[in-house]
Amino acid sequence: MFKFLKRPIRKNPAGWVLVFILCLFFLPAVYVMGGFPPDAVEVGDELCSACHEEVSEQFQENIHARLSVGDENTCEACHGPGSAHAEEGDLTLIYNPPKDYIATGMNLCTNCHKGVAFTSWHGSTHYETAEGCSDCHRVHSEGKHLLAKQEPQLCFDCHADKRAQARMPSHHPVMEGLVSCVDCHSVHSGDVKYTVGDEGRELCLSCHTSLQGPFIFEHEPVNEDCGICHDPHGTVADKMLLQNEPFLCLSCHPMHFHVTLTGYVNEPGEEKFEVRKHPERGGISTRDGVKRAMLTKCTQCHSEIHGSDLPSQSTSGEGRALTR
Amino acid sequence: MKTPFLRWLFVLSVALGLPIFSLLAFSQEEPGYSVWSLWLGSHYTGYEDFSKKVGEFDRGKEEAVPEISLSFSGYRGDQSLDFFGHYYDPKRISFSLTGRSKDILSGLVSYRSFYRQRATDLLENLMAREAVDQENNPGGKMFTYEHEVPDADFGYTRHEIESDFQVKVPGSAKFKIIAAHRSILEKGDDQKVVSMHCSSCHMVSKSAEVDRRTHTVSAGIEIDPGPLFLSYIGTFRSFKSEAPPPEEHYDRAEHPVKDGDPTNFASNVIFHDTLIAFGQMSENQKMAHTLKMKTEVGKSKILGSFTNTQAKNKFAELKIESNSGGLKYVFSPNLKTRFVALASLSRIENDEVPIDLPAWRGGDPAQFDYIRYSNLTRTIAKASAEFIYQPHRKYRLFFSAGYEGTKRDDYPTYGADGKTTKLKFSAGAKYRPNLRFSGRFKYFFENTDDPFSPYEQLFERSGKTLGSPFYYFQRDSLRYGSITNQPTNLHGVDFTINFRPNRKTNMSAGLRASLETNGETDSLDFERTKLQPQVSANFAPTPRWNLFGSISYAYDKSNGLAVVAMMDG
Repeated sequence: MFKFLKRPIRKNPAGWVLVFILCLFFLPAVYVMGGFPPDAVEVGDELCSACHEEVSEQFQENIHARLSVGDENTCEACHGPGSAHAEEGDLTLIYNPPKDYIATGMNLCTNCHKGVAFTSWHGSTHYETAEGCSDCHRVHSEGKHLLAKQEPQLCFDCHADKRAQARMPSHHPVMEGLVSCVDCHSVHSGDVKYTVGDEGRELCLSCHTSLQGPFIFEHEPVNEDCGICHDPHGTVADKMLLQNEPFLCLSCHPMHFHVTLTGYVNEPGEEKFEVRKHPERGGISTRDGVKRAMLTKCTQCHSEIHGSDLPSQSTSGEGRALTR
Repeated sequence: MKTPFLRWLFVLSVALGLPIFSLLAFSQEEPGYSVWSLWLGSHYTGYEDFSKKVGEFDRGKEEAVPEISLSFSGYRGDQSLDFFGHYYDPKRISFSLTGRSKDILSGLVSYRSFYRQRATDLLENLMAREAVDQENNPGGKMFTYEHEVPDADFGYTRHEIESDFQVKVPGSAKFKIIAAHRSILEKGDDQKVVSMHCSSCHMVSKSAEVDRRTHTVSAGIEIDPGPLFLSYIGTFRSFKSEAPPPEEHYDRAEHPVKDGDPTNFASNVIFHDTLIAFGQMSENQKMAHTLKMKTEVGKSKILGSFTNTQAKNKFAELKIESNSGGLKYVFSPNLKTRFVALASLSRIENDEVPIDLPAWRGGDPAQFDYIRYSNLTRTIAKASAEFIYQPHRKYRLFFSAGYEGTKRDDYPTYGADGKTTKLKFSAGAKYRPNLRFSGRFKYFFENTDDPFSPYEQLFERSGKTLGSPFYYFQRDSLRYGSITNQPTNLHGVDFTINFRPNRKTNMSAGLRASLETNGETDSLDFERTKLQPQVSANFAPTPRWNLFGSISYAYDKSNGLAVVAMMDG
């Protein structure tokens, strides 16, 4: 099992990984203090607001202030006893939750914010990479969910690649304000790819419920992962497809054999080919006509591409051509 | 609640109940605060070359349209009520109502609607005829089309109603009851295209009514007695289309070239000379039970979850059942180090379906009956570990590795008996010397062994054992190799820097790039490159003003060799 340990380390990728991990632990460390300042006592909100007037006034409309009506130590509930700071005016003598989070990863907010929405918060990527709750929330403000900005701009500040995608021709209506990032993503959860509740295809099916199935005639990538064909954050191609048809289809399927038929070319002086059913819509067929017909949009015929319970007409195709 | 009337009554009751409840609460002699605002305005859209695609979610009328929004926010004591409503046009309306009493009862009711403009496929590419034969006769195979509603303007309005209530049991603040509801209604019309001729591909475009209804109800409890947190949520979802599927007469089968010989082609098709339904949306239901737990033991946090779901197709009487369980372990031996481990196991089973088909051309020995197995029937195992180490308050280091194995019971992928194995690795660092500057770099790599690839693919089935003659569909095995757009290797970097010179200004720049490759299939070499740089700046002179600008660029290029058909049928 541990044969890799016997190989020379310079030829051993696993060994390099081990060395890397060990290096992390032996890097010079600096002790960082966390927690409330010692020997300080509570002084009450009134004294805090005497200096922090602007913050205090704004805070009165804050949900935290509303829930602590009658409590005279609202500020110190999060910032700890303030007597030492009030006497000296020293910033280091008052507890600052964001700074402590940056330094130690300690999170005061989750002492109260528990519940199912925060079950997986610890260890999630947002928990590990953000600078704390204050990256997204302004805890003294009055806005909705105390957000620093409204969605989706708040999310785009870090996920800038999604900002570009949201403006591509085919997109979910995020920029229009009709769908928000948190409709799909659970920013506090970190369960699986930050999605709300379900994972992968099940997440998509929570809105696109008509495609739930199970269908008698299936299209296998639909079962596998919607992301094989679609990018939900936005694409240049129609229907949020990774590529336009037929190129996307041709990345898994060969060309239809009918595509190799050449079109009908009229000799000079001959009558043009006209469409049988609607003469007024008549047109000209060229050698490229069949290719244009067969290589423009596969879903014109294979319209039920996500699956169907009704058999298609070809026997040799076993009824699973997804044309009806 | 089987009728729309009762459902609307339920919603109305909730909508009225909350404000009444809150008004009663406000009558108490406690300090309070309220603010409301009314905004009146108008929007105008002008266009010369209207593209329905561009206006998919934002179709403007070429006229001035009044717009109004109303908001109210108030509290008295520890009761609060918030309302926001916005009228954009008759098809785009939204409102939300949130109420809270003490920390015991909270409720939310929201509604939003919008119109989705659907594009119309003009089908104009479907006009062609096969080339002349040796006698200079035009070929028999043709493509034609017709629009039954040529000037149709397709689209539908989507309505979504949500409610969410949470109640802590009085006297027991550690016991919470949760109830939620969500309905999505989509009404309008859409384009449906169907082939109605066998002898030549004649496509008919029809207008089909859209009346799709999805209702989701969930209820559960949360118990937080101390070191152990437990929650259960049960969710039931149903989908039904109230619109009948469109129908079209499918013509008598005739061979397109051989003088329209019906005997030759009639046995090649499952149906002909009959009225067929198409584009049917089958009724389905889904039930899910989710159990979650969380506990802390010393410096460790342990999280667990288990989910059971059953999805049913009511029309076909088919069922998907899945069970999945996961564990997450977070260990912080000291303030500088954290270890996160994840493991999960899922099992999904999709019903098998016997398919009965007519025999090939009567007397031939080929039988096309088969059992439809599903690639959804599978077992998925995942495991990952992550180290986070902060040797200095100015920087933090990340390292993670993960495994994901998918075993499909009845669906072979190329080179492996239905098994796909994925290994993931990432490493990164974050640097923050002070509150003004931060930078983050991450490298990630994924290696996939035997990624998903289509098997037997969309049309003809390969590998049939038939007598002579050799039919064209038997040549599929010659044409079909391993083709996929899934990569075997993925390398990526994610780099961001953020500069905040003062409390009002914020600037950031970043780059995300990835390269996906697959050179291991026998028919297709696949490569995909993504490059997404961005810069942005933000200036908030006052808490109520926020000015921002950004430039984002996305480059996405895929290369793949398309397979050329080897015969012309």
